[in-house]
Amino acid sequence: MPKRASDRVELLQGTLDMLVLRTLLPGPAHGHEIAKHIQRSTDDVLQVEHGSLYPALHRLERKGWIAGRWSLARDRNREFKYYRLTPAGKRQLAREESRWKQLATAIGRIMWPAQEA
Amino acid sequence: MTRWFRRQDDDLDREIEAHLAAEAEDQLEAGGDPAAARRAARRAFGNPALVKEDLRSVWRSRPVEAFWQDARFGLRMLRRAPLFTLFAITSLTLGLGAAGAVFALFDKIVWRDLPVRDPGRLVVGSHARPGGGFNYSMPYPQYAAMRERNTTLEGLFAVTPFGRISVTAGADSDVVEGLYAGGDYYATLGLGPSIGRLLTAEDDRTANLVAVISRSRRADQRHTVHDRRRRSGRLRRRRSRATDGHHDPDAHARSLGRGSAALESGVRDLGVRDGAASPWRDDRAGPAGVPPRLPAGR
Repeated sequence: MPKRASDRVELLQGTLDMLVLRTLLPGPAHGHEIAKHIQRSTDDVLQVEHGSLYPALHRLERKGWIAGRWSLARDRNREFKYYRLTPAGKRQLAREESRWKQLATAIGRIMWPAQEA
Repeated sequence: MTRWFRRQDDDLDREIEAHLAAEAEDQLEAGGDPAAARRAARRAFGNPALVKEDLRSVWRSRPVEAFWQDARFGLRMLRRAPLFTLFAITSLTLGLGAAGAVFALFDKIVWRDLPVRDPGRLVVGSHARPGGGFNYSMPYPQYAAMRERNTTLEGLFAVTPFGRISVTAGADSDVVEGLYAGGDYYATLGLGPSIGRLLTAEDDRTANLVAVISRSRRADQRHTVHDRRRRSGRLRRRRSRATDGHHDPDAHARSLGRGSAALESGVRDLGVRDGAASPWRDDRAGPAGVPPRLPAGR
């Protein structure tokens, strides 16, 4: 069940792209699947407003990191635009991941200095 | 471009529609009636219109959009301050108009309307070092070498200022600007004399100074009556003082009229001895301005 609004965390600026790319790593997915996957994997902590996903998808497509193609869904009798990760997208994902790790480590050192020592 | 946007729009509409349907199906499975499921799907999606707006800014290049926003903002501000706008537009109009008018005048007088054959093909020779300014005069030997080896130009000649001289014809006398010119001067400019003869390339070789009296176009009207007398009169050269009140700037040799006449005057009358005053000898490095003429079709 969805958590209460106060328990949800706003997505950090710029992290949605990384999450989308990571979600597409195992294989192609359409917008609805991506939104559901992000929500489910984080136990509904990360609430992606579904609508905000599409500008991100189109932006990523424009940059050539993902490619979209219309095809029939396996589990529904309906066509969806399936996005898949391009080689350039994989490289971008690696870049963003390492940047995120750096950021998280840096913040961790300030927040929990004892653990570092 | 518009069609491309429409295709993108249709694509997005289909995507949103599919998304809402899928979400509604999921909500329905979780329980509830179809109408409530659709409402929940819409709630989860957010505002489709906002999403589309957001997407258009992704498709369209942002700088273009921003430019139009700035332009509209500027127009609004101008409308809000009419007095400032009036002054700004007036001064801009006057400034641009004046610059345009001056250019048009200059273009007509200096470049297109020279009283010579095909003035559009006359150019000015100059040389420059990288980083340095243009130099419009060069040593005579350099000019002589250029003239000898010229293959690209229809003709080229050298000129250098001579200073003011007074010309006396009978009772009439005038102060004019003099100009030393090489023998190719008139042939290259394409001018002919109305009486007598003009300088020719042959005169360069004989090393005799030849005087050519030419009238400017404006001086033309004033002096028509005395013309014939002047042409047959004796020529006397006298350095005029700068305070001489009779100086006629129009009589500059640049403005060679149709009625140019040549007088092969005695060199003594010019006050110089056998070619000694010529600024150019092959062994002397006197300065020479070189306006060459391009061949037709350049």
